[in-house]
Formats: sequence, structure tokens, C-alpha cells
Amino acid sequence: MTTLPSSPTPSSPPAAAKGPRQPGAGQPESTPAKRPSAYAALTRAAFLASVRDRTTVFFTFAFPLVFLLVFGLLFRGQKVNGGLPYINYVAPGVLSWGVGNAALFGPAFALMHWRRDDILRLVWRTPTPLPTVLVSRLAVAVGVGLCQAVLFTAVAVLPVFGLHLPADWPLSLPLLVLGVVAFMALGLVVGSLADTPEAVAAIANFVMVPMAFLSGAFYPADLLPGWIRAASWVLPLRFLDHGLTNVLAGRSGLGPLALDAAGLIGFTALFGLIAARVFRWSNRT
Amino acid sequence: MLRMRPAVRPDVLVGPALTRGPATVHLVKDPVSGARMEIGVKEHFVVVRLDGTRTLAEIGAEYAAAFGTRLGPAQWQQLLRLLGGRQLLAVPGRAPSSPVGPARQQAGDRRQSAAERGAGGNGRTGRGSWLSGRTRMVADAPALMDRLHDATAFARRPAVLAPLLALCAALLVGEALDFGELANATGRLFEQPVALVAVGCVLWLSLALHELAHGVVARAYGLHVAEIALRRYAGFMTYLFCEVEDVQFLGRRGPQVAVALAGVVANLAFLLPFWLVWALLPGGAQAVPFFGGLLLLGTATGLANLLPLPPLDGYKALGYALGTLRLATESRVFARLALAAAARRPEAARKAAAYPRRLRRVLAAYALLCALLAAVALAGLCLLSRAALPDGAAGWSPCLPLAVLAAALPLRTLGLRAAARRATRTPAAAGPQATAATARTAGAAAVPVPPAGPAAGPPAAPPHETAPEALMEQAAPRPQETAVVVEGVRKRYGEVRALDGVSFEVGRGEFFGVLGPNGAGKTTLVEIVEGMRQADEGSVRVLGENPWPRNLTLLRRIGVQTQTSAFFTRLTAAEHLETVAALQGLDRSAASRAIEAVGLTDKARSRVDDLSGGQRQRLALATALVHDPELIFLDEPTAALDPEARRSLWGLLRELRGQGRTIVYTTHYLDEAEALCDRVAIIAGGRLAALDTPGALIRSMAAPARLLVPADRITPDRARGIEGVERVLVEGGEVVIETRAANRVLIALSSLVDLDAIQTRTATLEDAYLRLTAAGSEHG
Repeated sequence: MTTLPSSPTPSSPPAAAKGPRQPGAGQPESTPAKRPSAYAALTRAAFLASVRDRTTVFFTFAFPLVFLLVFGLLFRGQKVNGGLPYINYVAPGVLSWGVGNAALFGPAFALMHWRRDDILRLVWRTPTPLPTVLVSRLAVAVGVGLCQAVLFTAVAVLPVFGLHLPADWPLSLPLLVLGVVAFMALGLVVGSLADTPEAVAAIANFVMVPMAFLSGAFYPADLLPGWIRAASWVLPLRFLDHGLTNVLAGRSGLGPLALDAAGLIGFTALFGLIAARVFRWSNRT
Repeated sequence: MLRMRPAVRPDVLVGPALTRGPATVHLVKDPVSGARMEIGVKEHFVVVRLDGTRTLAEIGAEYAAAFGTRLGPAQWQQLLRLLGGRQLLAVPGRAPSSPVGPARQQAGDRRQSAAERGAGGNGRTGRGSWLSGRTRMVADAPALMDRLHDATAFARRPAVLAPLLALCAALLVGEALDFGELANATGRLFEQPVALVAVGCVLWLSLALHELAHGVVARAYGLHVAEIALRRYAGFMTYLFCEVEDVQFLGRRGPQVAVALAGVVANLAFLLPFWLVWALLPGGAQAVPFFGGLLLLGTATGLANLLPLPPLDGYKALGYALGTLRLATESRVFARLALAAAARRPEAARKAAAYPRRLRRVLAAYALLCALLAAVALAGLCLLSRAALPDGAAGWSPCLPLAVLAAALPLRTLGLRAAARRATRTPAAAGPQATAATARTAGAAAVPVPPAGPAAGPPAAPPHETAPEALMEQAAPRPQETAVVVEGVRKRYGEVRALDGVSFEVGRGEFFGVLGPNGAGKTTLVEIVEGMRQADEGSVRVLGENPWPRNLTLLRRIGVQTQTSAFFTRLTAAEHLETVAALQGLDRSAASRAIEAVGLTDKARSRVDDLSGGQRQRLALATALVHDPELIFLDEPTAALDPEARRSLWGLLRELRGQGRTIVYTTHYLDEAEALCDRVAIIAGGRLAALDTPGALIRSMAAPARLLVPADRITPDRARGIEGVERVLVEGGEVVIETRAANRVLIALSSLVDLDAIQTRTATLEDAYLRLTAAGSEHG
């Protein structure tokens, strides 16, 4: 079979000629070349905006690695009294923090900018519904999160750090995706509340940094005082961290994992509701 | 008329009878334009007889014999107009496939090689980005299919096919017997990432063969394979597909089903050699996970395609076998009717009774099948969750499927709503209210329905047929003289009265200025007119419609120039406009048109952040022009521009106006309003202070002229002594004499001063404006 790079198509049919689509009947194998959907175009725009911001890209990926380096080398070869090596706490902890951080900051900044620069109004004037805009942003956030996870894991399994991937590592994927969704919902709340980049950074850090410590992202949760450990279950990062730690330690039952996932879904719903309440189309009222 | 012998073009395809809901329809396809339509049994009866040998009278007689009714002249006319409008009638003296219009060329070019197509400049539009769209995997699918057809001739014999099918069946049986071991091997495969990737690659090859098999079987039945391509969707889903045209025009259903099922058979046949190896493999061999996983996963992907759910092969095969169009949708409609009928709703019962008995069984069976599949899936989930949940929580296991259901239903509702919104959006563009401007871009409904490749069975986007009468109506623009009517609009923010009873009208094609100091309510006014805010009192009509609440039909027809910062970050000018075009539901050509219209083509590849002030203003203007609106709102488009850039933007604005667009223009540059606007409304303190042409405004103000005399030539006291002088000021070394009787004062001055030294300044809009706004703020 010969393969060729993308070759152009005859001009697409104008919008007016396109009949209503049946929901659920994607029929991808038969539909002729269509204009790019708003969703695809927005995803592309969000993606380009993300990758062209080289500094942010660099730190999105480098920051968790730095933490891994610090904690990994600090606790190298040591074990927690419960039995697992330190790296099995540090790696999933830092990874979940890094993924959550990126999923929170990116959409929060984007939403703040879009509102301040009137891009939300631009969207308002078009037939494209707002959820399309948000879901496209989510697609990019999920992509970023998965890339982070791949890179991070690739470094963590180096002999220096000594993380071992268990056979059922794919279980971490749905967990990561749910984590990204939950933190993006939180990011939308932050982006709706803050009007300036400084405010976004301040609020997001205020939320993320204590959460990282209280959820056991930087410190084995099993070593936290009992009451903090109990209280930490009100934090979304705790669920992501807990689930990832269990998966990477190879001690995951599907059941506890499902509970972690349910927790993340719950947080998504909660933050989603709050975001919907505080959402504004424009800074001017 | 009845003596005419019109003929349908011989190349037009007319399909066998299919059922769509209670109706029996035939598909008709114009192979040149690719347009498809559905016609009823009676139309079909006539269409197949329009062969140029029979007169309409003869056909009419046959028709009367068959259906018991006569065709009147009006019905003949309607039918012929429908066929003629779609260019399905043979025109004497013209080759049947002569290309007419772009759509036809598009189809006519199908067989051209990819390279030639690439040369067509406009060809890229609609191909999508690399995140979404399709990539042709085979340069020339028809040619490849021809070659494969020849190469596989040996296999198209019962002597080969029958054993092959038997072996595939044996494979399935063998795997079922071996299932435990296969599952075990597959489980171990996931612990070996390298082997897992290898299995993925091999399965990808199997998928490619799947598509080729569709194509080869289709080719064997004489069908045209349009394309084998990789479809990328939304950035993270990709799949191969094979676009076979006209499956449903095959007379017999067996071949149709064979085309649909060929892919799965190819998947299974592909696994046969691996099965052999697996069978021969010693128990402890290292390759066990690879082969076991490959067999199990390959079979699973193949068989999953047989699920009778759209858009899978099994669904298509079922649809072909039953001769139904849109089985899933029709079955859903019927199920709803049947339930309503069971609830003793007489209307539903009547409608349900309209379905033939066989069809009722088919649709009900399919609905039950779907329900069964859903139940099986939920039960499976329930079992899975019971197995997976910790012991204490096992009692919760039935809740998980319920939770999934609870989550799925709102999602589905949202999806349906979104689809409905999309659907309402589409006809809105071509609706009867669409005026010349929208018709210009969209081509209205005159464009044929895109070919919905029947390889996927029922078309995703069913051909949306419009009766010819409707087409006629759409062509005539409806006269509308006023673009904007604002009556007694009031708006308060807390204690602040932003607008306090503003009324005016903007005519079609007018360049209408809204002047006023900052905070005068200009922005609020524009926001009310475009429907972003609701007026507390008063009424607003824009292009004959009410803008509030968010009126999408209307928003499609108006363009609002945004702030110069309202660009998607870190994109180039062209990318920004393409994104906006996609938001508007338009393709990339709309973006390139807009960028050309504002003269930014050479900056298309520059990042928006790197553009100069003037270029940013132009881009903001292009953003408002992407969807080719009739009415444009511009908000200070020349703010912060150097004089040269301002002037060149003026030229652009005049051009827009020359294209017949209505422009509403807010500014506080008065020279600009004077130079550009037909009429000017001055808003101050939330009220309309004045509304007239700039010239009339200046005259009505009777603002005094100003005579400037060098201060060393005359003293202010002396100047005050001249008759007709109203006021004397000293400004920057000159004595400024204000007067409404400039001529008389000039004569008097000439005796005192050399006239060459005197400069005359007549009143400008600025004077009028300053007076009016000062008065206005006193009111406010």
C-alpha cells in the first residue's frame, strides 16, 4: 500500500448544503471532505497557542522533572516503613502534581485572556456553543497531561531512580485523564474569578501549593499524621495521587481505583458547577 | 407539453426500492455532481420511464393505469422542474457529463491523479488541519483497485472463497475452544510493552487490509472506490476508511452485504497464518503472548465491527440486507411511536399503523436488539464492578451501571441539543430571510447535496431536499429599507442611566456614525443593538429581527469589529481568521477572502502579536468580515493609528460601504465622521443630542466662524469694537475673532489689517459636537 502525505481535496461543500447531522451516527467512513469543524479549529488554535509559548512548554515538562530529580536523589534507595520504596511515592506524587498544575494553569490563563481580550464575545457572536470551546481546550490539556506523564515516566524508570512499571500500568491512563478534567474544571473556576494574569497565578498557587503538600504529592501520604490524611480526602489531588500511587505500586484493585475515579468525577462535577455559576462573558458588566 | 419526450440523463443512477420509515423510496444519484436525492415510488415510476422514447402523455397513461390517478400539468411541471433544476435531464446537443459549476468539476476530476489535484490552488480547503481531516493513503484508489482486482482474480472463485470462509469459521471455533489460554496470553502481553507495540503494528496492517477488502469486493461488483484514506477526527481519533460509492444502487442485496462484510472476513483471513503458528507453538515459548494476544485482539477488533450499531460494518450489512435507509433512526422513531401507541395515544397508533407489517417487525426487532445490547453492556459492567470493588463495597455494584446511565442520559440530551442547534443554524443561513449578501457567500440551496458515500450504509447527512418552489422563493430578496430601528431605548446600571430614551433609524446601505464622549453610552447602545444586552425599555429591530435574546440568525448577518486585542493568542493572522471562520461554520476560503479584503495578504503568516497598529485594526476588521455580513458595527477602528494608516483605512471603509453594506460606526474622531458618515448621531449623557448629516449639523449649529489675526496687528479691544463680533480671545500669539457674520467683519478688518495675514476657520463638526455634548452632559 502506498502512502502519501495529506493531499488536498476539492473544495468542501458550503455550510448551507450540509444537512443536519444525526447525533450518534458519525458515519465517518462515508462523509465527504467537510470544512474543519469549529471544534477541530479551536483545538488547533489552543494547541498552537500552547506549543508556541516555549517558556511555558519548557517549564510544564521540566518542573516536575526537577522535583523528581530532587526528591528521587534525596531518598534514593530508601524505603518507607510500610514497605514501598520512596520513588513509588515520589514519582506518582510529583507526576499527579505536575499534571494537575498544568491542567489548572493553562485553562485558567486561557479563560482569563479570552475574557479580557473579548475573544469570549467573539465566540458569543458565532454559532459555536461555548462547550465546544471548552472541550477543545480540554483536548489540548489532556494531550499535555499525557505527554507529561510519558516523559516523566520515561525518566523515572531510569535505573538512577529505579521506578518499575507494573503490568497494569494502562489503568493509570483513565485516571490521568479524569485528573486533567477535574483540574481543568478547577482552572475554569480560577480563570473566571481572576481578571489579570497576576491574579490567576496568585489564586492558582494558593490552591495548588498547599494541596500538593497536604495530598502527599511531595511527601509520602502514608507518613502524614492521621488527621491530615483523613482531611486530605477533600482535595482532588489526593484522589489522583492515591490512584496513581496504587497503580504504579502494582497494588491496584479495580475497586479502589474506581473509587478514586469517582472522587475525581465528583470534583469535576463540583468545580464544573461552580465554574458555570461564576462564568462571565466579559469583564465589563 | 404532453407531446414532449424528455429523457433523464443516461448516466444518472436510480436505485432499487428501499424503505425509510414507513415510506418506500428510491435513491437517485447524479454521478457527475455526486448529488443524491430520494424520490418516492410514484416519482420513480415516472423517472425510469423518461427515456426519450415515450411522450409524457404515454407515461401519464401508464401512470394512471398503475396508480389510478392522473398527473395534471402542474404536477408534470413540478416534476420536470425538479429534475431540470438538478440537471438530471438530458440536454440535446450536450455531452451528458459536461461539467457545469464547481461541484460538477469536483466530481469530474475524481479520477485525476493526486498530483494534479494538488496543483489546484483552492484544493486545500476543507481538508482540515492535521488535527482533523483526512489524509489520502492511496494516491489513486481507483487505479489501485483495478490492479488489485486483476491480482486477486484467482481468488474470486468459489473454489478459493468457500475454503477461505470455512477456515475463518474454523478460526473462530478454534479460538472459542482455546479462549482461556488466549486470554491468559493476552494478559501477559500487557506486561511486555515491546510485544504490545508489535501487535499494534500488525493489527494496523490488518485494518488496512480490511479497507482494501471492502474496496476489492466493491470493485468486483463494478462499484467505484473513491478513496482510501485516514480520517483524523478531533485530534486524537484516527481511523482508516474506504469510500465506496453507490453500494445501494446495486440491484441485489447479497453483493451489498458482501461489500460490507468483506472487511471483517479479511481481518479473520489475515489471522489464519498466525493461528497456524499459535497452534504449533510449544506451551512455554516466549512468543506465546504475542501470538495469543494478536489472535484474540485481532479477532475482537474484527468481530466488534459486526455489532449492528452505526457506523460499524455490521450495521451497514444489516441495513443492506433489510433494504432500509437509516435503520437506527427509523427504528428509534418507530419505537417511540409504538410506546406512545401502547400508552393509548390515538395519533401515535395511527402513525404506527402506517408502517407495513414486515417493517414493523424489523424496526421493533432492531430496537429490541439495541436495548438488549445496552442491557448486556450494563450487566457486564455490573459484573465487572462486582468483581473489582472491594468486598465491603460489593453491594454497591449495581449502582455503578446506574451511575453510568445517569451520566449518559444528560450527555445524550446535551448532544441532541447541540445537534439541533447545528441543524437550526444550517437552514437559517439559507432561510427565506437570507438576503443577497448571504446568498452570495453560501450559494444558498442551489448547491447539490454532497455525496454521502454509501459504503457506510445510510448516509450520515441525509440529503436535505428542498422543493423547487422553495428554491424560487429564496432567489427573490425581500426588500428591507431600514437596517436598524431603535425606539425609546433605556438602560440603567444601578443608578447610572447609560441610555435614556434613544431613538433612531439606520437605513440600508447607510454609513451611520455614532459620536459621543467616552462614557456617553455608545458601547452600551451597540451592545443592545447586537443583542448582547437587553434594553430595560424600548424596542430594537435589526434587519427586521429582534436581537434579544441572542439571535443566531441575526448574528450571522452582522459583523462586529472587535478590540484590536481580540485575537487568538500566538496564532498568525491567517490562523486567527481560519479559527474565526470555523467558529462561524465556514471553511478556510472565507478566511482568505477576508484577509484579502482588508489587504493583509502579505502579512497572513505574521503572528498577530507582531502586527503594527494599522495591521491589527485591519485584522480586527477582517475578523468582522469573515462571514460576509450585511451590517457591520465598527468601534473606533482608527484609534491609535498614525495619519497615513488612518487614511488608508478610510479608503477600505468606503470600499465596504460601496459594496452595499450598512455600517454603524462609533468614534470620537470628528474629522473622520465628517469625511465618512452619511449621517451622524451624537450621543451625550445617554441621550440623542442630535441626528443629521454632518453638513446639516454644522449649519444647524450656526457655530461662529473664527478669524485669526496676528496679535501684533490688532488689539483685542479694537477687535471687540467691530460690529458683528461675538467674542474675542487671544490664543497663541493670535487674536481669535468669533463671528456669525464673517463677511461683514472681514470687510471691516480689511481697513485695519492686511487681509493676507488673516486666517479663516469655518465651523467644523467638532464645534457642533462640543456644543451638543456640553449641553447633553448638563442634562445628564
